[in-house]
Amino acid sequence: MDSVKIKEYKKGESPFNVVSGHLQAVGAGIKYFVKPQRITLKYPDESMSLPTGYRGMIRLYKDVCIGCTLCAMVCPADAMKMVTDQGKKFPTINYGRCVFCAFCVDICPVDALKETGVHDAAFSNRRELIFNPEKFDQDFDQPPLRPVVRKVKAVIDEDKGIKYVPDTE
Amino acid sequence: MKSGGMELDIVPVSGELNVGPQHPGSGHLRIFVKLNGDIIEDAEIDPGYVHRAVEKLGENRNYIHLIPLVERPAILDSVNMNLGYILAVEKILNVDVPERAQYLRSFAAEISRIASHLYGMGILAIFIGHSTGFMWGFGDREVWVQILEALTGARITNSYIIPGGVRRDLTPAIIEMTKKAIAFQRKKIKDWERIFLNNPNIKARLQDVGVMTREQAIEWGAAGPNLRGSGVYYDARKSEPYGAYSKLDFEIPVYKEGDGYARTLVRFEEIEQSLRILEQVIKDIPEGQILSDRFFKQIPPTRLKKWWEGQRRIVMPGYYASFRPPKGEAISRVEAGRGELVYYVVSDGSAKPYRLRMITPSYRSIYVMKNLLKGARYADLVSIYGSLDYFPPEADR
Repeated sequence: MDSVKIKEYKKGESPFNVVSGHLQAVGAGIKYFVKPQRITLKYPDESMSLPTGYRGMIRLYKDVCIGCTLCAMVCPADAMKMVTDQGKKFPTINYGRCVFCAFCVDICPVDALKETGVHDAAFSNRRELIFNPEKFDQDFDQPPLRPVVRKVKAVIDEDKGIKYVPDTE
Repeated sequence: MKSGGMELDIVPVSGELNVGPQHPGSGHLRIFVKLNGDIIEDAEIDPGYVHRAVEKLGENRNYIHLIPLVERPAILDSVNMNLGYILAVEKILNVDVPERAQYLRSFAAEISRIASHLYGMGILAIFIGHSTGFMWGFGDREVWVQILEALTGARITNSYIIPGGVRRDLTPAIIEMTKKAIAFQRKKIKDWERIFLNNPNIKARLQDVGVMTREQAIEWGAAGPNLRGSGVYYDARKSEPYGAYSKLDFEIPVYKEGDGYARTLVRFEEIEQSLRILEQVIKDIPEGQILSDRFFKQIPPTRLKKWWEGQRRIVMPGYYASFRPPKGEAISRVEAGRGELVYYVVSDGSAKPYRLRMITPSYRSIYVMKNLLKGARYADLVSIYGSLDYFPPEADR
């Protein structure tokens, strides 16, 4: 065990220190007023592209699936259920329950499930949240009503924290 | 009283006030406050508004299903919550975790701790009327959340740690991100000191407010930074090292005063210590596997080639879907962002735990808060609440 060092802070400051404390606080405020570290993303105009391996919505490759039911077994939220389609078992997913842990993707022995990296989706009714194997077999694509003007990527910056740079891919 | 023709009657007010439970600066928690004037005579803390029955649900789910569930109570500190549970399960399973995975666990846990402290400081700042601090806390936290997103694939619901190891490996791109984030956070903490810690307004709201002596802190069962703010040297990372903490060099900040300001200083210095740990992990992390051999061997070779060699990701063998650990019980302790977190898991040999007990640090703040509120001014309620960094969902579970 290390040597225990119990610290104390300085109490009871002189009026001079109080004034300089206020001035420093205001000074720091002015610094960020002039050079703001704004990280707001103007969403419909700018859209963030997600890193590879992002655990977004999941898609099924129906022709690869062997119907082993492991994905339904490992699902922590009971979002995945198996259905029988022409004598073969396929998973369905209920996005109303899914917690996006991607355990199903990791456990699938034949890689029939894939994380798509898409996560902005809206549904107008709850039945649409349940994807049957046919719907689950396609890449989820929901074009926004107002097209995205530009795609940006979040980059960590030493001065600004997070900086958005245009995604050139 | 007569002065200048105006008549003013001062009537001593006493009565009860109901603070909460819907986040009026109290979190999801109800506090019955008995007031005499603006002095709090007695406070009754009524937790349970966001109770989610994690312990009971734990009895009806497989071990692997519980990973996302145990994260949920303290969602902003999810890696630590996940880690504690996995440590208990690993003790029952009797698995050896590879060195690299241990380092990665510490790496993710420290990022989670920084993010959790920044969140707590942001909440404290807005409670005492400093909305800049609130914005900064949440803005700085975003940097660390981005790193977790790159490492684990999710922003906060990481589910990163699995029995036997971790799910994804550290890549050079993440190391680069972390180095930049460390440099950024060090610079930003300087400005935090100017605008928040050395600000006379903040000092006036926190110094000598909610004073807890060393003896009281021990008697009332305070945990984590609250305990260390009262001059008690105690940290589960030092007293019972897990992960890679026995090989890492870091200090435990301890302050003597025991007031809200001391607790805040402890949290800020812990952020600095966590940054130091991250630097050491980046430098010292050994090469090797990130999943125990016992499970690694069960992964089909074709998948291993595609995922582990191609993308440095672990895929799960089918074993995880419904494994049955041997009969036994285990207890684990981790130092989560808010203090010591204890899991107790009993296995009866089936695929579901017989009992999952979870003792969260915030739950132990309830009694501390009740005692600290007695005799305080009503305006200091939020200051005491914020300085304890109490997180209701974590306490309610």
